[in-house]
Amino acid sequence: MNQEAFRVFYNRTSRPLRAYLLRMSGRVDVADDLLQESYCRFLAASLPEMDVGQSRSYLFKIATNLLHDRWRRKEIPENIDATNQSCQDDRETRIDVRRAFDQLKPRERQLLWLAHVEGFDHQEIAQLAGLKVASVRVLLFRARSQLANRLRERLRTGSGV
Amino acid sequence: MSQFYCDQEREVIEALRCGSLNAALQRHASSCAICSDTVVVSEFLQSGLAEASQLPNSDYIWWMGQLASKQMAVRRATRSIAQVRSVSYLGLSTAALCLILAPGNLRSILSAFSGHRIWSIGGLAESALLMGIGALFFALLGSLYFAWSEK
Repeated sequence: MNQEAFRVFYNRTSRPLRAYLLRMSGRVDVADDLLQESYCRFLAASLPEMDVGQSRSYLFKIATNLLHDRWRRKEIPENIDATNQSCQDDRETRIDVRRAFDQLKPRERQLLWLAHVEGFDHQEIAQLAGLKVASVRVLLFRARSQLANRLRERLRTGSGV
Repeated sequence: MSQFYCDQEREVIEALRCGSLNAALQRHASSCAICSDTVVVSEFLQSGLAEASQLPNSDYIWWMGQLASKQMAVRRATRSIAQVRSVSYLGLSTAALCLILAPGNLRSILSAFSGHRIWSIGGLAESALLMGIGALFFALLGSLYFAWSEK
Protein backbone atom coordinates (compact mmCIF):
# COMPACT_ATOMS: atom_id res chain seq x y z
CA MET A 1 0.00 0.00 0.00
CA ASN A 2 1.47 3.39 -0.94
CA GLN A 3 1.07 6.59 1.04
CA GLU A 4 -1.80 7.95 -1.05
CA ALA A 5 -3.76 4.69 -0.84
CA PHE A 6 -3.14 4.60 2.88
CA ARG A 7 -4.43 8.16 3.25
CA VAL A 8 -7.71 7.19 1.59
CA PHE A 9 -7.97 4.02 3.67
CA TYR A 10 -7.18 5.93 6.87
CA ASN A 11 -9.78 8.62 6.17
CA ARG A 12 -12.34 5.91 5.62
CA THR A 13 -11.56 3.73 8.63
CA SER A 14 -10.01 5.84 11.39
CA ARG A 15 -13.21 7.37 12.76
CA PRO A 16 -15.16 4.09 13.01
CA LEU A 17 -12.12 2.34 14.45
CA ARG A 18 -11.66 5.01 17.10
CA ALA A 19 -15.35 4.86 18.01
CA TYR A 20 -15.04 1.07 18.37
CA LEU A 21 -11.93 1.31 20.55
CA LEU A 22 -13.45 4.07 22.66
CA ARG A 23 -16.67 2.20 23.31
CA MET A 24 -14.83 -1.03 24.10
CA SER A 25 -12.18 0.43 26.39
CA GLY A 26 -14.12 3.36 27.81
CA ARG A 27 -10.97 5.49 27.85
CA VAL A 28 -9.91 8.13 25.38
CA ASP A 29 -6.17 7.67 26.04
CA VAL A 30 -6.38 3.90 25.48
CA ALA A 31 -8.49 4.36 22.35
CA ASP A 32 -5.98 6.82 20.84
CA ASP A 33 -3.05 4.62 21.78
CA LEU A 34 -4.61 1.49 20.30
CA LEU A 35 -5.70 3.34 17.17
CA GLN A 36 -2.11 4.30 16.45
CA GLU A 37 -0.78 0.86 17.30
CA SER A 38 -3.37 -0.87 15.11
CA TYR A 39 -2.38 1.15 12.04
CA CYS A 40 1.33 0.69 12.74
CA ARG A 41 0.91 -3.07 12.93
CA PHE A 42 -1.27 -3.02 9.84
CA LEU A 43 1.42 -1.16 7.89
CA ALA A 44 4.26 -3.28 9.26
CA ALA A 45 2.58 -6.57 8.33
CA SER A 46 3.52 -8.04 4.97
CA LEU A 47 0.04 -8.58 3.59
CA PRO A 48 -1.08 -10.14 0.32
CA GLU A 49 -3.19 -8.07 -2.10
CA MET A 50 -6.49 -7.20 -0.38
CA ASP A 51 -9.57 -5.20 -1.26
CA VAL A 52 -10.78 -2.40 1.03
CA GLY A 53 -13.27 -4.64 2.83
CA GLN A 54 -10.63 -7.25 3.64
CA SER A 55 -8.16 -4.60 4.75
CA ARG A 56 -10.78 -3.05 7.01
CA SER A 57 -11.60 -6.44 8.45
CA TYR A 58 -7.90 -7.13 9.06
CA LEU A 59 -7.47 -3.75 10.75
CA PHE A 60 -10.36 -4.45 13.11
CA LYS A 61 -8.90 -7.86 13.84
CA ILE A 62 -5.62 -6.25 14.91
CA ALA A 63 -7.51 -3.75 17.09
CA THR A 64 -9.59 -6.54 18.64
CA ASN A 65 -6.46 -8.55 19.49
CA LEU A 66 -4.82 -5.48 21.03
CA LEU A 67 -7.93 -4.89 23.15
CA HIS A 68 -7.87 -8.51 24.31
CA ASP A 69 -4.20 -8.13 25.27
CA ARG A 70 -5.03 -5.08 27.40
CA TRP A 71 -7.92 -6.89 29.07
CA ARG A 72 -5.76 -9.91 29.74
CA ARG A 73 -3.07 -7.74 31.30
CA LYS A 74 -5.79 -5.93 33.31
CA GLU A 75 -4.65 -2.59 31.94
CA ILE A 76 -8.25 -1.71 31.23
CA PRO A 77 -11.21 -2.91 33.28
CA GLU A 78 -13.67 -5.30 31.66
CA ASN A 79 -16.63 -3.32 32.92
CA ILE A 80 -16.35 0.29 31.95
CA ASP A 81 -17.75 3.35 33.63
CA ALA A 82 -20.08 5.30 31.35
CA THR A 83 -19.55 8.48 33.32
CA ASN A 84 -15.88 8.56 32.27
CA GLN A 85 -16.66 8.63 28.58
CA SER A 86 -16.44 11.88 26.75
CA CYS A 87 -19.52 12.69 24.75
CA GLN A 88 -21.29 15.79 23.69
CA ASP A 89 -24.55 14.63 25.20
CA ASP A 90 -23.68 13.96 28.82
CA ARG A 91 -27.09 14.01 30.39
CA GLU A 92 -27.84 11.64 33.24
CA THR A 93 -30.43 9.78 31.20
CA ARG A 94 -28.04 9.13 28.36
CA ILE A 95 -25.38 7.89 30.74
CA ASP A 96 -27.91 5.60 32.33
CA VAL A 97 -28.80 4.03 28.99
CA ARG A 98 -25.14 3.76 28.02
CA ARG A 99 -24.50 1.88 31.22
CA ALA A 100 -26.73 -0.90 29.91
CA PHE A 101 -24.21 -1.50 27.13
CA ASP A 102 -21.11 -0.97 29.23
CA GLN A 103 -22.22 -3.58 31.75
CA LEU A 104 -22.14 -6.32 29.14
CA LYS A 105 -19.11 -8.59 28.94
CA PRO A 106 -16.26 -7.35 26.67
CA ARG A 107 -16.87 -10.13 24.14
CA GLU A 108 -20.59 -9.29 23.97
CA ARG A 109 -19.87 -5.60 23.50
CA GLN A 110 -17.42 -6.38 20.71
CA LEU A 111 -19.79 -8.68 18.85
CA LEU A 112 -22.68 -6.23 19.10
CA TRP A 113 -20.56 -3.31 17.92
CA LEU A 114 -19.02 -5.19 15.01
CA ALA A 115 -22.40 -6.45 13.85
CA HIS A 116 -24.64 -3.45 14.47
CA VAL A 117 -22.35 -0.49 13.93
CA GLU A 118 -19.65 -1.74 11.58
CA GLY A 119 -22.01 -4.00 9.68
CA PHE A 120 -19.72 -7.03 9.56
CA ASP A 121 -21.51 -10.29 8.75
CA HIS A 122 -21.35 -13.36 10.98
CA GLN A 123 -18.57 -14.93 8.92
CA GLU A 124 -16.39 -11.83 9.16
CA ILE A 125 -17.03 -11.47 12.89
CA ALA A 126 -16.08 -15.12 13.39
CA GLN A 127 -12.75 -14.53 11.65
CA LEU A 128 -12.17 -11.32 13.55
CA ALA A 129 -12.95 -12.72 16.97
CA GLY A 130 -11.49 -16.18 16.42
CA LEU A 131 -14.81 -17.94 16.94
CA LYS A 132 -17.01 -20.31 14.96
CA VAL A 133 -19.88 -18.81 12.98
CA ALA A 134 -22.41 -20.82 15.00
CA SER A 135 -20.92 -19.50 18.25
CA VAL A 136 -21.06 -15.93 16.95
CA ARG A 137 -24.75 -16.36 16.17
CA VAL A 138 -25.55 -17.73 19.61
CA LEU A 139 -23.44 -15.15 21.48
CA LEU A 140 -24.82 -12.33 19.39
CA PHE A 141 -28.39 -13.49 19.93
CA ARG A 142 -27.92 -13.62 23.71
CA ALA A 143 -26.11 -10.30 23.95
CA ARG A 144 -28.66 -8.58 21.72
CA SER A 145 -31.66 -9.90 23.66
CA GLN A 146 -30.02 -8.92 26.93
CA LEU A 147 -29.23 -5.40 25.77
CA ALA A 148 -32.61 -4.90 24.08
CA ASN A 149 -34.42 -5.96 27.26
CA ARG A 150 -32.31 -3.63 29.39
CA LEU A 151 -32.86 -0.74 27.00
CA ARG A 152 -36.62 -1.32 26.86
CA GLU A 153 -36.72 -1.54 30.63
CA ARG A 154 -34.81 1.72 31.08
CA LEU A 155 -36.92 3.47 28.47
CA ARG A 156 -40.09 2.22 30.20
CA THR A 157 -38.96 3.50 33.58
CA GLY A 158 -38.56 6.96 32.08
CA SER A 159 -34.82 7.33 31.50
CA GLY A 160 -34.82 7.47 27.72
CA VAL A 161 -32.21 8.37 25.12
CA MET B 1 -35.30 -18.11 10.46
CA SER B 2 -33.18 -20.08 12.91
CA GLN B 3 -33.58 -19.99 16.67
CA PHE B 4 -30.62 -17.62 16.95
CA TYR B 5 -30.66 -15.47 13.86
CA CYS B 6 -32.96 -14.19 11.19
CA ASP B 7 -32.17 -14.15 7.47
CA GLN B 8 -33.31 -10.55 7.27
CA GLU B 9 -31.30 -9.41 10.27
CA ARG B 10 -28.43 -8.12 8.14
CA GLU B 11 -30.78 -6.32 5.81
CA VAL B 12 -32.31 -4.56 8.83
CA ILE B 13 -28.88 -3.54 10.14
CA GLU B 14 -27.77 -2.24 6.74
CA ALA B 15 -30.99 -0.24 6.34
CA LEU B 16 -30.52 1.34 9.77
CA ARG B 17 -26.87 2.13 9.00
CA CYS B 18 -28.01 3.91 5.84
CA GLY B 19 -30.85 5.79 7.52
CA SER B 20 -34.12 4.04 8.20
CA LEU B 21 -36.19 0.94 7.49
CA ASN B 22 -38.51 0.71 4.52
CA ALA B 23 -42.14 -0.33 5.02
CA ALA B 24 -41.50 -4.02 4.29
CA LEU B 25 -38.66 -4.25 6.79
CA GLN B 26 -40.68 -2.34 9.37
CA ARG B 27 -43.51 -4.83 8.97
CA HIS B 28 -41.05 -7.70 9.31
CA ALA B 29 -39.37 -6.19 12.39
CA SER B 30 -42.68 -5.77 14.16
CA SER B 31 -43.45 -9.47 13.74
CA CYS B 32 -39.95 -10.93 14.28
CA ALA B 33 -38.52 -10.96 17.81
CA ILE B 34 -34.89 -11.08 16.61
CA CYS B 35 -35.27 -8.18 14.19
CA SER B 36 -37.24 -6.19 16.75
CA ASP B 37 -34.27 -6.53 19.15
CA THR B 38 -31.93 -5.72 16.25
CA VAL B 39 -33.75 -2.43 15.63
CA VAL B 40 -33.62 -1.42 19.32
CA VAL B 41 -29.93 -2.29 19.67
CA SER B 42 -28.83 -0.82 16.32
CA GLU B 43 -30.61 2.48 16.93
CA PHE B 44 -29.04 2.71 20.37
CA LEU B 45 -25.50 1.84 19.24
CA GLN B 46 -25.58 4.02 16.15
CA SER B 47 -26.75 7.07 18.08
CA GLY B 48 -23.97 9.47 19.09
CA LEU B 49 -21.58 8.14 16.46
CA ALA B 50 -20.99 11.59 15.04
CA GLU B 51 -19.06 12.46 18.18
CA ALA B 52 -16.32 14.92 17.30
CA SER B 53 -12.80 13.66 17.92
CA GLN B 54 -9.32 14.78 17.06
CA LEU B 55 -7.62 12.07 15.01
CA PRO B 56 -3.90 11.91 14.28
CA ASN B 57 -2.79 12.98 10.83
CA SER B 58 -2.57 10.14 8.29
CA ASP B 59 0.96 11.17 7.24
CA TYR B 60 2.12 10.90 10.82
CA ILE B 61 0.59 7.41 11.14
CA TRP B 62 2.16 6.43 7.81
CA TRP B 63 5.57 7.57 9.04
CA MET B 64 5.10 5.62 12.31
CA GLY B 65 4.06 2.57 10.31
CA GLN B 66 7.18 2.80 8.13
CA LEU B 67 9.30 3.04 11.26
CA ALA B 68 7.55 0.01 12.76
CA SER B 69 8.04 -2.02 9.59
CA LYS B 70 11.76 -1.15 9.52
CA GLN B 71 12.12 -2.19 13.15
CA MET B 72 10.31 -5.43 12.37
CA ALA B 73 12.64 -6.08 9.38
CA VAL B 74 15.70 -5.55 11.58
CA ARG B 75 14.26 -7.87 14.22
CA ARG B 76 13.57 -10.49 11.54
CA ALA B 77 17.09 -10.17 10.11
CA THR B 78 18.80 -10.51 13.46
CA ARG B 79 16.54 -13.28 14.74
CA SER B 80 18.84 -16.06 13.49
CA ILE B 81 21.86 -14.46 15.16
CA ALA B 82 19.94 -14.17 18.42
CA GLN B 83 18.88 -17.81 18.13
CA VAL B 84 22.46 -19.02 17.54
CA ARG B 85 23.61 -16.90 20.46
CA SER B 86 20.94 -18.39 22.74
CA VAL B 87 21.90 -21.93 21.71
CA SER B 88 25.58 -21.13 22.38
CA TYR B 89 24.76 -19.77 25.82
CA LEU B 90 22.68 -22.84 26.53
CA GLY B 91 25.48 -25.17 25.39
CA LEU B 92 28.06 -23.30 27.43
CA SER B 93 25.87 -23.34 30.53
CA THR B 94 25.20 -27.07 30.12
CA ALA B 95 28.92 -27.80 29.70
CA ALA B 96 29.78 -25.64 32.72
CA LEU B 97 27.09 -27.37 34.78
CA CYS B 98 28.41 -30.81 33.75
CA LEU B 99 31.95 -29.83 34.76
CA ILE B 100 30.83 -28.38 38.08
CA LEU B 101 28.44 -31.16 39.03
CA ALA B 102 30.69 -34.03 37.93
CA PRO B 103 34.35 -33.00 38.32
CA GLY B 104 35.40 -36.61 37.72
CA ASN B 105 34.29 -36.22 34.10
CA LEU B 106 36.77 -33.41 33.51
CA ARG B 107 39.60 -35.56 34.69
CA SER B 108 38.54 -38.48 32.47
CA ILE B 109 38.15 -36.18 29.44
CA LEU B 110 41.63 -34.72 29.98
CA SER B 111 43.18 -38.13 30.41
CA ALA B 112 41.44 -39.36 27.27
CA PHE B 113 42.89 -36.38 25.36
CA SER B 114 46.37 -36.90 26.73
CA GLY B 115 46.31 -40.53 25.58
CA HIS B 116 45.10 -39.59 22.09
CA ARG B 117 47.57 -39.47 19.27
CA ILE B 118 46.66 -35.85 18.49
CA TRP B 119 49.43 -34.99 20.92
CA SER B 120 51.96 -37.25 19.28
CA ILE B 121 54.19 -35.66 16.64
CA GLY B 122 53.47 -38.37 14.09
CA GLY B 123 49.72 -37.74 14.18
CA LEU B 124 49.96 -33.95 14.06
CA ALA B 125 49.81 -33.64 10.27
CA GLU B 126 46.84 -35.99 10.05
CA SER B 127 44.99 -34.13 12.83
CA ALA B 128 45.68 -30.74 11.21
CA LEU B 129 44.29 -32.08 7.93
CA LEU B 130 41.15 -33.35 9.65
CA MET B 131 40.67 -30.02 11.45
CA GLY B 132 41.12 -28.14 8.18
CA ILE B 133 38.52 -30.27 6.45
CA GLY B 134 36.16 -29.78 9.41
CA ALA B 135 36.66 -26.00 9.34
CA LEU B 136 36.00 -25.91 5.58
CA PHE B 137 32.89 -28.03 6.00
CA PHE B 138 31.45 -25.72 8.68
CA ALA B 139 32.39 -22.62 6.66
CA LEU B 140 30.52 -24.11 3.70
CA LEU B 141 27.48 -24.84 5.90
CA GLY B 142 27.57 -21.28 7.27
CA SER B 143 27.78 -19.76 3.77
CA LEU B 144 24.88 -21.89 2.56
CA TYR B 145 22.83 -20.84 5.58
CA PHE B 146 23.48 -17.14 5.03
CA ALA B 147 22.81 -17.44 1.30
CA TRP B 148 19.51 -19.16 2.08
CA SER B 149 18.42 -16.60 4.67
CA GLU B 150 19.29 -13.73 2.27
CA LYS B 151 16.74 -15.14 -0.17
